[in-house]
Order: sequence, then C-alpha cells, then structure tokens
Amino acid sequence: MRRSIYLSIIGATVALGGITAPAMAADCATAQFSDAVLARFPNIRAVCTEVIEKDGQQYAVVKGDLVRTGTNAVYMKFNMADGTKSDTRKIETRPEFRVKVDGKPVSVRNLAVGQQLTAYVKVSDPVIALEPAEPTEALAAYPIEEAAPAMAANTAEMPRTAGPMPLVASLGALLLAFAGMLTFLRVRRQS
Amino acid sequence: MRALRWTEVGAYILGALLCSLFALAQADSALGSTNAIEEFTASVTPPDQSLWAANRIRDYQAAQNSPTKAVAVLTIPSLKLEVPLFDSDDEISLNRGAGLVAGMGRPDSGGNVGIAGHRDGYFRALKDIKVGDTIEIRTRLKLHRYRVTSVDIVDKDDTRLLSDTDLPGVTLVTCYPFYFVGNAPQRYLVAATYVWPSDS
Repeated sequence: MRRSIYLSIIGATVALGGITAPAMAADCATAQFSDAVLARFPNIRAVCTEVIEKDGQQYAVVKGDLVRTGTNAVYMKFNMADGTKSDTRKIETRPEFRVKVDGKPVSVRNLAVGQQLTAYVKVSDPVIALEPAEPTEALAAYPIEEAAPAMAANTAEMPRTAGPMPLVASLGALLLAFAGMLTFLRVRRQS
Repeated sequence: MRALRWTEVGAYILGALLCSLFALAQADSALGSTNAIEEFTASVTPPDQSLWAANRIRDYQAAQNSPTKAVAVLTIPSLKLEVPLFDSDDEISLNRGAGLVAGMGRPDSGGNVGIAGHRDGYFRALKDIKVGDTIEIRTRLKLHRYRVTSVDIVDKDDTRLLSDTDLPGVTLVTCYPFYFVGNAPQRYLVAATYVWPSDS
C-alpha cells in the first residue's frame, strides 16, 4: 500500500515535471545562442526582448526602428535594454513580403524609415527574419550579415538653385526704362 | 532718327516680353505650388477603388508618379513655409516648390535627403532658420520629422555635406548670398537629423 503511494507520488512528480518543462521556455538571458549567432550578433542578448518557439525552433524577438530601405533589404537599429540603439543591421527580404506596422499588414516595398519593426533571430543558427504580417505565415530567414552596411558613395552634385527669373525681370525693367527715356527725349525734342 | 525710333519700339517690346515672362513665372510658381499641394493632399487619401478595373487602378497609380506631381510636402513651421516637393530639381520644379537632389536619399528610404530650392523663391525664408527648428516632410507613406543641427555656407563646388549618412537626415540647399543677381558663388546648407517617433 505504502509502496503504491510512493510510486504514485513519484509518478505525479515526473508527470508534473513533464508538463512544466515546456512551460519553462528559455528567456533572453538563458537562451543557448549558438557560437555562430554570437559571433555574427554579439549584442543579441542586449537587444532580445523575449524568446519564442515557432515551428519547433527557438527565436529571439528583436524590435527596432527602420533606418533605411533597399530593393531586397531593410536596415534596422534595434532597441537595446539600456534604452540606446544597436548598430545598423541589414535584413534581407523580398519587396512583396508583408510585415505588420502599427497592427496593419504592409508590404516591404511600402515601408518608410522611422517605422517600428520586429524581427526574429534563430537561437541555433545565424539567421534573421522579419516578423510576417500573419502569425500563420512561414518565416523567411536569411543569414545575419556581420558588418554594418556600407553607405552609398557620394554621387550628388551641387544643385543649380539660382533661377534666371530675377535676371529676366531686371533686364525687362531696364529695357522699359531705356525705352521710356528715348520716348521722353524724342517728345522733348519735338516740342 | 528712324533707327532711334526702332530702338525705342524694340526696347518697349523686349522689355514688356521679359516682364511678362517674369510675371508668368511668378503666377506659375504661386498657382503651381498651391495646385501641387492640393493634388498631393488628395492623393494621400485616395478615392475608393474597390469597383475600379485593374488597369484603371494602374493608370491612377502611374499618374501619381508623374514628374509634374509632388512626391511630398515640405513644411517648416517656425518659418511658416509649406512647399510641394518634386522628384526633380529642374527649373520648372524649383519654380513651383522644392526638388529632391539626384544621387541622394529619399524621405521614405532613408540616407541623406537632399532638397534644393531657389534662394529668390521659397527658400529665401531659410535665412531665418535656426538650429533646433523642426522640418517636416509628409510623403504618401509617412510624416517624417527632422531637427536642424547646423547651418553652413560653403563654396558652390563643395559637396562634402551632400554625402550619404548612416542615419536618415535632410540637407536643404540654396544659393548664397540670398540677395545676389547672377550665379551666386556660395551655397547655403541646412542640415537636420531624423526625429525618431520613439524619442519624441
């Protein structure tokens, strides 16, 4: 009898352990980021807001500001835990891929700088994906780039901001004054 | 004597033509600017297209991207300045408002956004701009806010301040001195950095 009670207690403990184990999901501090992730994204723990599970994989959730858009990429600065911003990170994507901005689905080609976006960093692999507009949509993950993106080379020339109109007006006024003076002299000579 | 008479008539005709040209340009500037802002405002809230055919929607969108249409509206509240922003800095665009400088950033896509304007037109008001003033650019996608960080006067060939920047910013460009007839020897540049919604 006593033996069966002990066995029941042990069984219940194991069962409870089995139930609670998945509930004790990793957080940003305890997530086992792979060496490759830490090498490509050294401050991942500082920008991570939570760890979620999707399709049986753990992802660190990172949020930040969109600072630049490209044809097949967006560039973000992530919010750090201390309130500062991370270095700029490039995230590859597709123009037609839809993300959620202020609760509404927006395609990447219609994104604008200053918008807040969310991305997922896979805990086990150095890949990053923008959060899709719908939770049921599959993630489109791309390798995390090591270096901050290079800025575009300066190809701009100083614009021509001097319009010809003041010169045109001055010339027109001078000609009218000159013609008026000729009229005055002619009338004076005739009278 | 006859030659003098012809000179007199010719001077009247040419003078009147040049003054008319100036008056036309002034009218085009005022009307073009007002129309461009109104058209832009209407395009921000597009009509209900739920019953439109696909090719009609495509034509409507193509019309919105016409070079004669404003791509944004630039506002500087402290100067009470509101001008349409065109995709080009050609003469017609600058007569009606301000133009985006080729080879630089765009308001929605980031980088250093270059905006040119005539010193004898809308951008003459920039002479009174101060560090800390707010510049707003309303595009079809978003309202962007910038804060003025510096005002510089540089040689007309000095393009260093037009270089790309890591964070979004805007550089307003016009000729200097403001009251100068002919090709001004310098440029007046107003630099501003992006104000993040999360920081404001």
